[in-house]
Amino acid sequence: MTPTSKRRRVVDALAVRWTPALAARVERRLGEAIGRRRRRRRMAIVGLVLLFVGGASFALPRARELLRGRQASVAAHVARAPGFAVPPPSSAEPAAAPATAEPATPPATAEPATPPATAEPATPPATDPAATPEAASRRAAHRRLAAASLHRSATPQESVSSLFAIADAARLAGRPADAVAPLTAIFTKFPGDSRAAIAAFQLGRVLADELHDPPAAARAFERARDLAPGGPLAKDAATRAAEAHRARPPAGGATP
Amino acid sequence: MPETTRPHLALVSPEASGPAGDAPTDAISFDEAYARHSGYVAGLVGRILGRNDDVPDVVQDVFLIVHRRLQSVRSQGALRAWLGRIAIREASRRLRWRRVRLFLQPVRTIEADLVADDGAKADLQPLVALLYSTLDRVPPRARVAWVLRHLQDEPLDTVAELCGCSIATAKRRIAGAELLLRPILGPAEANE
Repeated sequence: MTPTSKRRRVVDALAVRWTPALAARVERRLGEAIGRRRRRRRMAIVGLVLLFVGGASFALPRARELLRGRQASVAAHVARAPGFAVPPPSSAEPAAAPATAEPATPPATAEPATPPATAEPATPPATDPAATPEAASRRAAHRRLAAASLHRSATPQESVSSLFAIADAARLAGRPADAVAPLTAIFTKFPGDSRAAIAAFQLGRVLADELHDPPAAARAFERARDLAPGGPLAKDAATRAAEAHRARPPAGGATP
Repeated sequence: MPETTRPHLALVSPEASGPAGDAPTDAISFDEAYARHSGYVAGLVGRILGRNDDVPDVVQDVFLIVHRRLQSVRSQGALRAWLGRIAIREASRRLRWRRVRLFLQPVRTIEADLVADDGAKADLQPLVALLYSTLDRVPPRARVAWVLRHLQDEPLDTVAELCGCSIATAKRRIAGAELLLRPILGPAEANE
């Protein structure tokens, strides 16, 4: 046998067994495998769709809930803003009614109709605008408003920020008395917040400089010092508290 | 193969989902591809692997891949080479596993079922068995190239195309396999 013929004989002798029966069997197995693969693909698609639908059905109500909460927060801001810009006593129509979700707003707008009923009996008829029955009534209404809004389920960040905004708006509007309630609420409701001491200090300044109430200012400054003993305002708070104590009128004396 | 016996294999032809602009003129269905080329794939795989037992499994794997990607084939002319590449890839994968098993279990029986027991060619069974047991020690890439060149009688450019390499690389692989096969088939045969 020559080498060439040997190789040729080997090549010719090789015969892979591939009969029609074997081909049909492989084809049947192929069909089954393709069917399995299609079923798997269908199952995967169904699973993905279910996952998407389930996720959406969970996420959408949650998102709606969050959105509603945010809208309520915004509505509270809006409702409080007209509260600060309370219409003058001459206007008796309930101007803030459409925007208000707060139950405390109508008394504020209806106060001109019944001034004697809402006026505090102990308030003397002084010339100080902050001491008038209207102002006292307004102050009380805003305290109720602030207290009511604080009971809403809101995150501390939102509440502290919004309360600061309310207080600033009140002070800028020339109504420092209206800033008392939100500032007080900040450090009473959120004493752990880093801005609680600032709120207390700011309250002390409002009480001392604008409302001329040294005893309350002294308490506020002391509170500011206690809330952040090592804070940057602690020293100033102690100094201002001492000044307020010195400015406190003697027992039985009139408030300046 | 009659269509009625295999309704599950009635698949989408390429022009049904291919681009509208360059739809192939000679569309290929999966059934047609299987009927025409399963024998070619089986022969190729059988010669590379050297055993009849593994052939049906590899052919099934090859046509499963074909079923998934048939739409990417543009013409009948490209189908055969494409099938050959898939078959070689699948056979090479099986060869690599076989080498791993050979490493873990070195002692095994030598099979030569590619040559029929009866007939005039039965005397070549020992030589074929020795040839494939030697090929088992050859790296799969070199083995595939050598088998394509010398047992499948493919020209070098076809070998290179099927192996997915250059002609020079194919030659180098064939030469590497010949170093081991020369003692069996002789030098003149290896240089052919």
